[in-house]
Amino acid sequence: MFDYLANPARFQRIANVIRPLAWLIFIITLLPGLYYAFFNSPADYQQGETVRIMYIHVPSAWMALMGYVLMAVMALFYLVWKHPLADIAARSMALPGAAFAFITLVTGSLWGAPMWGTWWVWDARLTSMLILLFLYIGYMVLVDSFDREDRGSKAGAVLLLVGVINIPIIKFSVDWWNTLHQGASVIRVGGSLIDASMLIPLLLMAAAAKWWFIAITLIRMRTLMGERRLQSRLASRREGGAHD
Amino acid sequence: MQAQWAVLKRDLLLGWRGLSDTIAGISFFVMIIALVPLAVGPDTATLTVIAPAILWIAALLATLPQMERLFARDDAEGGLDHLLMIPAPLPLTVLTKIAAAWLLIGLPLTLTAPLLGMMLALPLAGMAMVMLALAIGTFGLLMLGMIAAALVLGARRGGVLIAILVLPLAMPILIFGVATSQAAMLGENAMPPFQFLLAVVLLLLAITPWATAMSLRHAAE
Repeated sequence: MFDYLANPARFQRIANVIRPLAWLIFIITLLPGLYYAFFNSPADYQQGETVRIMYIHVPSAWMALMGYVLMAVMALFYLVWKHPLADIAARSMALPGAAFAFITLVTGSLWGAPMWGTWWVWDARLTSMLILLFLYIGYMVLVDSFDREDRGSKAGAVLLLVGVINIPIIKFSVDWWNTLHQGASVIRVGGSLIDASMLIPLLLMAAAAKWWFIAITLIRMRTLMGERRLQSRLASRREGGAHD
Repeated sequence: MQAQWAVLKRDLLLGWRGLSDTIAGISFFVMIIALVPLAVGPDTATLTVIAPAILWIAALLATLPQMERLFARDDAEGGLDHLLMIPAPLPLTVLTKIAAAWLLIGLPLTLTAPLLGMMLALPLAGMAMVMLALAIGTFGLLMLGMIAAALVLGARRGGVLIAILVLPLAMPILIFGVATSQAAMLGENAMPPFQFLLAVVLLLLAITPWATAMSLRHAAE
């Protein structure tokens, strides 16, 4: 399948079908998700209404992690199989992923201040999420620091693969260490611990975040592929002009 | 083996000839540590509490400028191609270069730690453990620096980039190194954080030679 998608024109045709679909699914999941999250789900018995930050905080965290994992997979495709669109995919996913990581940290901070009495704490979960944000930023800076685009892509790919060790650390940090952040409640051995009245809105918001991510990534990929075509056209025109 | 020995001797010789660089590195280490008591105040109780942290931050900041020159000179003079042409596997050569870098950068830092600890009112108790942790920690930092230096070969503003790449990944080393030093200083069991430090550095040892070799090959294209 990935060989099939390696042709940029073919990929763009398929992307042009998927993208409006992604926006549609985003709207379809966002609207009921927001409704259930803010109006039709129970307030927490201890935290009251502020628990509703969870419906933004948790999907953002999931997307930040998924974004990095996808970028690392793209890095593997680029380095090992030299897939021509893999580096464009990785570059496209960097900023949305970083944005989600930032939103996770900010919403977590806003949640922590009234609930746990602190804006920040250096426990394993928060520190490893901060490292994830820095890895995103480092990747974005690195890939654009080279004069040749492919050098930047290769360097960025190596960085992504080196930093992938952070993902299991983030996931299992609440199990391995004594953290202020609560333990795993949704994706855990033995099934989720959340009641359906809260789980449904959470999953709806998570789906909304994912399809937004897909739509935005496809838009950014289209832009980057267009830029690449433009560069090669300009280069060949310069070549052609030199032969006159 | 012959090739590795030659690479090691060459790096050590270059380091010895450019001793001013090494001394500059140690001076930077000393400078940072000297500034802290001036800023924090001479109260030894406060200094003792923060001494392990300052020692480790100073070690991290002092190794950062040195990381750039791990490969820069080789790249500029064409030595990179020679490295790639050595018949031995490139990861092994990278390992040798890390060993040379540690002897030139990490070891002096470790050896000056007791002296500088005095400036920070660091008690002599547990100093052996602190030095061991520093030795291993600086080895880990240099491995991170080696990956970053290979990644940024040919990039603009490579020095800043190295800092951006190394500092987040160096956080675990910093955290566990300071925890080990603190425990050793207070006479408590330093084994748990020390074993974590060791685990992190061993993980880096598993990753660094191959990541660096891959980056060097990309840089030489």
